[in-house]
Amino acid sequence: MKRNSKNGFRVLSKDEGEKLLDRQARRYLGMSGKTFVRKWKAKEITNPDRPEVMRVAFLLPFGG
Amino acid sequence: MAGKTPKQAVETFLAPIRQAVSCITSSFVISGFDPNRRSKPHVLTVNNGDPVKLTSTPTFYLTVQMQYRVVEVTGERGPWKVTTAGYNYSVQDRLEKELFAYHWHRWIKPSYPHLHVGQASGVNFLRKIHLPTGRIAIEDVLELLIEQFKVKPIRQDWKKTLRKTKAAYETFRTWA
Repeated sequence: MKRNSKNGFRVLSKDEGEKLLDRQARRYLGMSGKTFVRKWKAKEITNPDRPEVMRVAFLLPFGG
Repeated sequence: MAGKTPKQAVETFLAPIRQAVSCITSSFVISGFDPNRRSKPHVLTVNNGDPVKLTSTPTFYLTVQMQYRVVEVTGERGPWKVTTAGYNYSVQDRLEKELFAYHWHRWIKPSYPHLHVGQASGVNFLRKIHLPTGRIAIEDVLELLIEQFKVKPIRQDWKKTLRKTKAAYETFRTWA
């Protein structure tokens, strides 16, 4: 698997994954990726099934 | 999807999804597979995690997110296989407000596959309801968008492509 593969998929490095999580957390929830991970683990996110939360929560594996 | 190595299993899993998604967008499928932590869930998304603007009137957006795991198995499905651990297929209006979304996530309740009817659909009283569904394949959503929401496919052989990639998925899935 190579990045920018001709197969049309791209595998992110750990750093790139964290950046993607951070960008989406800021976009949808107005907080950093690290803050989201911490709040999620502490169960401090209210209504976790909201569309904007779900879009970030699905990226949690990028958060380590 | 099976493979001789974890990496190959992931490639075998990603390739048909990429092909299916190529029916409506040229955006890359992005994943975060790390062979050193293969037992943990991994992410698959499209268009760098952003909603994909579809070619349609009115304008729709599609968010595709999946989580998967790489597991060791015996028999013809092995020795390595990718198993889907969750999905979020969300269709949004021109303002990127959710119209509906198919969800399956074992990590928050409800853990059964379900449909959300979003506020943007105009049916407000269903907003917090989780309507049970069977497991939904990405091909089902793409076909729905093309056939019923009149999204313009970007490849002419979309029907054949979706049939082929869904058949591959059904061959390797471990649920009925």
